[in-house]
Amino acid sequence: MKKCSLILTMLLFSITIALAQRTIMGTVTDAKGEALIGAAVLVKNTTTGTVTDVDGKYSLDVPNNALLVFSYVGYMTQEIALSASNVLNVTLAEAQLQEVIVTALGTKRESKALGYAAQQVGGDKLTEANTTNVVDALNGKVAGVQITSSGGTAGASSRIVLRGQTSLDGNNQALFVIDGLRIDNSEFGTEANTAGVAQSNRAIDINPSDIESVTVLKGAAASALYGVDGARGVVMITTKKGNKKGKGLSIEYNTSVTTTQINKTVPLQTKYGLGDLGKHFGFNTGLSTSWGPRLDTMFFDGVPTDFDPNGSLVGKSNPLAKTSSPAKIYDPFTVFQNGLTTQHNFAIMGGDAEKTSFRLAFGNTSETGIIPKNTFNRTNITLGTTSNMADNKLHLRSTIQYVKTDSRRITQGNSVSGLMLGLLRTPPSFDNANGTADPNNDKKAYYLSDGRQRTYRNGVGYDNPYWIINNTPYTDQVNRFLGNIDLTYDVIKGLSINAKVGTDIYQENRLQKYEINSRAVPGGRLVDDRYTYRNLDAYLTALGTIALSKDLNMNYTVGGNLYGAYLDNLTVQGDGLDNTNFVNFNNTKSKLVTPSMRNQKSLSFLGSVDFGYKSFLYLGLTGRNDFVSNLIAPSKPFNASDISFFYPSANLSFVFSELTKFKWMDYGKLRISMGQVGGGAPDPYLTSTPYNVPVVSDGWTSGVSFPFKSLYGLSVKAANGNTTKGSTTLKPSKTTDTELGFETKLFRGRVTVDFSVYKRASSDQIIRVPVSSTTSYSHQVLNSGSLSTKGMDIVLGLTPIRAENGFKWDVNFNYTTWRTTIESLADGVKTQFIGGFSSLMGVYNIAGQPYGQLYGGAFMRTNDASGTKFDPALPYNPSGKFVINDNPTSANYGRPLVHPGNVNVGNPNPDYLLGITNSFSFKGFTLSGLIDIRSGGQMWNGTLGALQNFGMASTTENRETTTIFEGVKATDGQPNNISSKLDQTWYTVLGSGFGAVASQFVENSSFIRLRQMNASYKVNSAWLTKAKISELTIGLTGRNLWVKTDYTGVDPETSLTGARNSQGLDYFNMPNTKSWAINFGVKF
Amino acid sequence: MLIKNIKSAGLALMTTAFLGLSACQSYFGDVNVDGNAPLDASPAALLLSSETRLVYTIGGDMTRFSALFTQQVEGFARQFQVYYTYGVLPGDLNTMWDNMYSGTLADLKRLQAKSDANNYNVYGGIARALQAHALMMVADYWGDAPFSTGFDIDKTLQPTYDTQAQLYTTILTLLTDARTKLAAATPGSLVPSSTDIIYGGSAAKWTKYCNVLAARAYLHLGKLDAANYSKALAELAKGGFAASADDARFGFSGGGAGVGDAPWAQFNSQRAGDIIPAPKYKSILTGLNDPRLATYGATMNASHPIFTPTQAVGILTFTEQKFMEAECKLKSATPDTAGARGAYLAGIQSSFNESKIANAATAYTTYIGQATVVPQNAPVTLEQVMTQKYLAMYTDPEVFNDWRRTGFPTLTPLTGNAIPRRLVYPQTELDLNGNTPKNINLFGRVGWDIQ
Repeated sequence: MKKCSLILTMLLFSITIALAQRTIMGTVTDAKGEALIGAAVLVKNTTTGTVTDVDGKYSLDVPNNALLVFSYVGYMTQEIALSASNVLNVTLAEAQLQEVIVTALGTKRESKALGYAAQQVGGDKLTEANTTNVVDALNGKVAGVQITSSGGTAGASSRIVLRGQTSLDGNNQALFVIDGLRIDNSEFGTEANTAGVAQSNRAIDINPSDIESVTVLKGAAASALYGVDGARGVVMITTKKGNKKGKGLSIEYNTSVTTTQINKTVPLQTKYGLGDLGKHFGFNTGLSTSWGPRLDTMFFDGVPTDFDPNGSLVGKSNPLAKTSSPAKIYDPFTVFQNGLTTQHNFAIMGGDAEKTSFRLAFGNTSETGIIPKNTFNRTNITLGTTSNMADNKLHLRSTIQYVKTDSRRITQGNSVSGLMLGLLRTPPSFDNANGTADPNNDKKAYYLSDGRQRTYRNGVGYDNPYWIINNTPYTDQVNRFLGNIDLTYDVIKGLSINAKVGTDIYQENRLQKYEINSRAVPGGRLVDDRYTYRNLDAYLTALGTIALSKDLNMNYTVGGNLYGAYLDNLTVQGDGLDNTNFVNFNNTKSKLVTPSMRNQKSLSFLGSVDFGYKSFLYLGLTGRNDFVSNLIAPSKPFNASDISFFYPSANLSFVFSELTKFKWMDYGKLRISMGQVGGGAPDPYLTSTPYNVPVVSDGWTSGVSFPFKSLYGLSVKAANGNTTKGSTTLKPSKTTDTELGFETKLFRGRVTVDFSVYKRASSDQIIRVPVSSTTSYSHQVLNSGSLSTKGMDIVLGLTPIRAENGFKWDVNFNYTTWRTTIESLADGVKTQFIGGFSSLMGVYNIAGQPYGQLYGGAFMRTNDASGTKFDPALPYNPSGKFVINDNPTSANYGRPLVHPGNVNVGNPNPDYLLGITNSFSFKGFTLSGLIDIRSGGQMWNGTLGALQNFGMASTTENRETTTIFEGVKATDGQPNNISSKLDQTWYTVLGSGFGAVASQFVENSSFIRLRQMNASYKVNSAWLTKAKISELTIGLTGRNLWVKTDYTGVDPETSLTGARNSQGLDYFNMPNTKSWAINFGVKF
Repeated sequence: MLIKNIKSAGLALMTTAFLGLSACQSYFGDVNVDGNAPLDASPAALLLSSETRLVYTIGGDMTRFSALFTQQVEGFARQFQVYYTYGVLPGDLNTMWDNMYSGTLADLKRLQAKSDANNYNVYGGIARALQAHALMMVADYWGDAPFSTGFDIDKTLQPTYDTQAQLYTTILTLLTDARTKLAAATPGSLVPSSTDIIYGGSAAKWTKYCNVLAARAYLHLGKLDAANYSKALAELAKGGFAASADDARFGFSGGGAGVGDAPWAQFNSQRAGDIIPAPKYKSILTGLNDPRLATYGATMNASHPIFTPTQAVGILTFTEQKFMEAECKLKSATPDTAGARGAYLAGIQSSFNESKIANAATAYTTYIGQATVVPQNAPVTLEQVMTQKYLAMYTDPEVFNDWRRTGFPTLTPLTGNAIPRRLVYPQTELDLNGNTPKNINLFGRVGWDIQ
């Protein structure tokens, strides 16, 4: 309250009462006749003035013949000379070119007043993308954002990073905020990050149809008020709440039907069958590789087996060979089907926008993936209301939403029960479907007659894809409640109190089943994994506007925030099934219960002040002080200063177009902002070093879990293999951010430019520093490490044609580029594992390199000055020549040598992203296309590496040829002239994905794709009015219709580890999709 | 007026801040305490996890590298096919190294500290004995390795490498100290029982174990100085294993669940088809008409007679002790050929008893009747001793040590012209510890492996 009195004092100082000759009264409204609250009324060239009340009314004592100036944010200022009447009603026109943008904490600001980058996307642009996941809908539409979908399965997650990474191993994805309050966007893993199923990121629960608009706050100055989490950028969602204007009841219904197909497969060889060194092996041998004879020399013997109804394969000269029945080549990709998604969205809006109005919506999305029995369903019920009460002094906005999602998913990735893993390793001569018409439901496809699993390795090896589809199902169900209440009370003119409370509560129940004889867990397994999440985000703020002088306005916000997020996870794993066909805990021989939790709280004080001078110069200042729970060291006495940190930001906007008189320039602005965001620990509990219930394992087997033999065991090494030493002396980390921007609109809006350059630095990171395990620990928590980002975003809009007849062509470019560099990790630590495989190919942070590099084995290359030798004392030179083994007794004579140890072999980060949207509209007809370009960046094609080992990659069709590797000979440095076979001895050793050289499978993952294509027609006809239909739209949407890439695997927009930090890995990832949809919308 | 207001506003803010901060503590409470993770562990719980981890590491990763390199087993598919032909990368060894250091040794150090502080002498003895065992595995497979400056993260993040010779001194000291603790008059107020899966807390058996392990240590150093063979025999003379009943064996059992089963049983089920018995191993068995072919040469699947889910994995056995004795007696300054023959026969007999073949006793008699196994009128040769040890200790990691020390049985490289003689340092160690020796490859030699 003291703050308030201070402000009131300032108010009194700024508004002096002048000598009055007459009293003028009136109402200030907008073009629609709605009252403008808080509009400024000033006597020109004086400090005499007032602001309008909640009804838009004002009353002011003025000198005779005064000139009154009426102004309001977002509206054109008007000057009016007094007439004889003492009543002066004014209608202000909206400032045509000025958008109003929803900014931090949900406040609306004029876009020209912002000294930082914020880009808004309308809800209609999200729904027209026709994606299930709202994150995907944003792809290509916002500059400064990188979105990567993890694959084409129904319910798969997508990663969203704004302007680079700010954390070495914590969350780097944008914060999601609905109506000013935080929601959870986690992606939990039930199995190792390289195996299991493609999980969802929890923002998938949001129905794009419920979204009014999305504002993307990119820099620290924009997001500083969101505190710690805001450093990563903020995706602010504003939900639809009711009638925006007028009264009455309206009904909206939208529906779409989408069909999806696999968009890109993996090239496989189709010439050679199962075997070793050219020798044929039958499917009963258990052999894994397709290094057998050419299939065009093989014939069936006509004696049906479990493996093939046509019989076993034999050579031509074999008397059993039926020459009329040559070997068949089966197409493995028939396992993929056409997926189908149907969406229904139904909304009723009613009430009076001035008083109380509501929107009640029901949405359902039902998706079947391209893999049989992979489904995702989501149902949203949302009630949004707005209400203005108590003489329009009390404003209530609220959204309450219930979401239920459930899915059935298919195991993937690095698991012998992963669909692509077994599918792609299958020799061309083996039909996983066993000739059945409906292998998805016909057990003959995936069971041998003796009851074991039917695989090309006689029951061992990898699961038959149809086995996976039926017998290793993963199901989950999420019940989620999202609610927020926003209450504003206008205390006096220009001062409001706002209370905002939001909660996000969900329960996710997952069940992963492995039937007996599933290769990943032959004894059978059941994992019940339950997550209970709850957060509470509450703000109490005072907001005010003060006209400090006729030219200087001030807006301020001051308040506090309480935030808590609580996660409780209970995993029960049952192993060893007794009977088949009953994957249930009442049928398992062991039950292992693992509880875990993740609770965090914060308490914050925050404030902001914005000054506006003469509608061309704006200054914004923010400050926030956080107290965070995850810095508390339980072993030390509590001291609030240990967990407290303050951080400020400032932004300046200079609208120079207000001062210049260029006719062709509608708008021009320069902006600069600087901000700092403090941070706590990336996770709770890093301040202590507890004992854990371990799982003793060697990485190849399940190992031993505890209790073992009903005995209790403890170790500091946790079940995930990490032995982490906590720190009791953690201090907050810091991210500082500087941004320069330029915005302009030219030629009556035909050209718009929004250009930003920025730089940010994060230091004192709290990380689990990897340390030599000879210290007793594998990781030590330290304030250490820093990273920095430099980047540029450009939004360019052009309207090449705006014809009289209504034809319009718009082109919109969103360009994104950044480079996040790891400046340092910790003393003596040059690499930090962040995901993937620790040996074969991992994603590591490497000091001095961009974020998240690919780190693995490489061929030896020349690295000395002469370019003819490898010197072990010198660093690896990625552009050196191969050093060729010229020892004639070596098995690898004539082949490149291997570099000792792992090196940096690739960078998954793209050079730039460019989204180009062309849209054409003519009389209700709209056609638009989004071309999405990702240039640069690399991906590890681990699939190719493994398939070379198995003789299944199409690259191995040259197995009967020789080559001379380009390089220099090891002993004399002379150009290599030794011919070497590209046979099995190459592909299973040095040319193998399981061998020492992972670098050879690192490929360019650049792409150009037709991300989205829309054609829609808004029916405009007299009968609609008669039928009381106010809007009728039909449309056609295509997604991902065309991709051009040099990447030889599945679609390079993929991620083995989902939306986690370790990007750039492909190891039997699920393929991606293309889709066509028909949409229909009607509004009454 | 303004000044006054600012003053009162300031005062109000300070008051709020003061009240707020004292309320702060109760607001946060113990929210940063992980309610699922205990801050202390009982010696019993620590012993169980470290014993399990040591045995699972020996019986898992280590046994596979040993058996693949010495051609007891063949890597038939996937990664193991690559290891079989010596394609072992530093990154492939991260897990095993971590299990040894930040797992087994670190937990045993904690157990030792806790035991010494409270005079739990039996625990203190076992903690040292198992450390000696783990450290010897590390020293034999990697050579130089950290120990003396390790396990103190506050002092150094990059422990130095002790030479293999220094490690062996440490190992022998640990074993001496272990025996002192085990022999202490007061066993301590807490003694291990069921969570010592190997010996159920028997100080007497652990003492024998220390004697045999010390003998193994001296045997490993034999190439450096032949006097070590006598020292090995002297250790055994202090009281070795009297019979197989004294074997250090760890019984696994997942109760049918898979998890908790013996490491080979899990591997053969979960990585079925990746590893099969090697042609070399089987050909030696066949050449000697060895009946153990039926069990040791069996296909690696769920019905393997040896690699059962409840296999009691031996980490130091009477069989091994007998072969050690035979070798030492042959190699001592004054060879005792008769003693060597006796120990040799006892070793074979003990192996036959373990091998689960039918009618082991008769089969044994027939077997030793062959001159190729037991020369009638000549001393048994070192090659025979080592070959029989190679056959008897199927998939025991000691076999890789034996082959490097003696060159028996004669092995032919499966690719190139050399067979691995050591492991390379793990990738994590190369990346994180600047003291890690550089330019090490699989074909180099560790300290005791002189030419």
